[in-house]
Amino acid sequence: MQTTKLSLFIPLFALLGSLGCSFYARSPAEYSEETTKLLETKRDELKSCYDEVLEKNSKAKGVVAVDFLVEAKTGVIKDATIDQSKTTAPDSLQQCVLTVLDGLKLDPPDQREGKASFSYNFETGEVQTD
Amino acid sequence: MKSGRNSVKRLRATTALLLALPFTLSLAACGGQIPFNGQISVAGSAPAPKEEPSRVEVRDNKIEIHEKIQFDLAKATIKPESFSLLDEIVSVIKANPHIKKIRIEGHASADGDPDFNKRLSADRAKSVRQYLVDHGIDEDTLISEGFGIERPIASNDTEEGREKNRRVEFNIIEQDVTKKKVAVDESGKEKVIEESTDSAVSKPKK
Repeated sequence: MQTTKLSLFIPLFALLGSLGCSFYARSPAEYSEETTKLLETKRDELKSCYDEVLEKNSKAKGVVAVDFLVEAKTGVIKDATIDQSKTTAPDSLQQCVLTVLDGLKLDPPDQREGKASFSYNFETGEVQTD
Repeated sequence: MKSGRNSVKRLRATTALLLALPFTLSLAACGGQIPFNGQISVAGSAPAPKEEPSRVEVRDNKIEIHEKIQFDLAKATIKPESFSLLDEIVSVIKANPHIKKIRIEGHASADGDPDFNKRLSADRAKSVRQYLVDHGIDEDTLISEGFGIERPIASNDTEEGREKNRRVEFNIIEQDVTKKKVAVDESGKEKVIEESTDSAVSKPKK
């Protein structure tokens, strides 16, 4: 009798557990890695912004520190703000970072909200000869 | 009998724990906030530096300078801000060994006493010559002369014109001229068939 009851409860509990959390749940390291990959998709746009800044000032460089949230269950990046205490890059690059973050979405979304602090390091690389 | 009841109790407790653990863990994974950070590097392409137009050029029988040599007011003392220009002139002369003799000419505007202007223009040309000699140009290559107001290149009626007339010129009065006879074959390739170097002397202007 006892065994029969148990055999009924085990799948019931498992079902309840899975219903309680049907979204993907990342570890902090996975969250960071996958968000980095997502942000990397906007590298070309950032480079283009940076090259424009370099046209006016060939020595422009610096860091843009940005904080944002990755919304639970949707993956939408939201509430991006510049951390001025750690930012050294020109205003135009700060604006560019905020623009590229707008509309990004982590896929699949995570069950938990992500609280991210990222720094974008802008530095000149190879010299354009054409 | 008692031992059998204890076994059942232990089994129940273990089962309850096993059931509660994944349930609790899954619920814990459902809420809260995950803080994390990261870094992105963006390498920009610095535009190629724009080539500064040369301030000193060798043109036929002249060394043209596209900037004025600055002197202290009414004196032959060269201002330090002109040292880099003079250093460039030294480099250009050294890079053109075909130049055998240069006349450094001082010229003045019509402002002030003509005799004073003539002396001043001669002294200024001498100062420039001395600077070039001090920086490695053979003194036999350089002569200096002051022309005062005699050879204006612009009207002395305007300040702009007078400013143009206050100047130092570098005229090449002797240089080696290389003559080449070149033949072009059927494929369009050039071949030097005769080459000679003569010394050409420019006649001084009257």
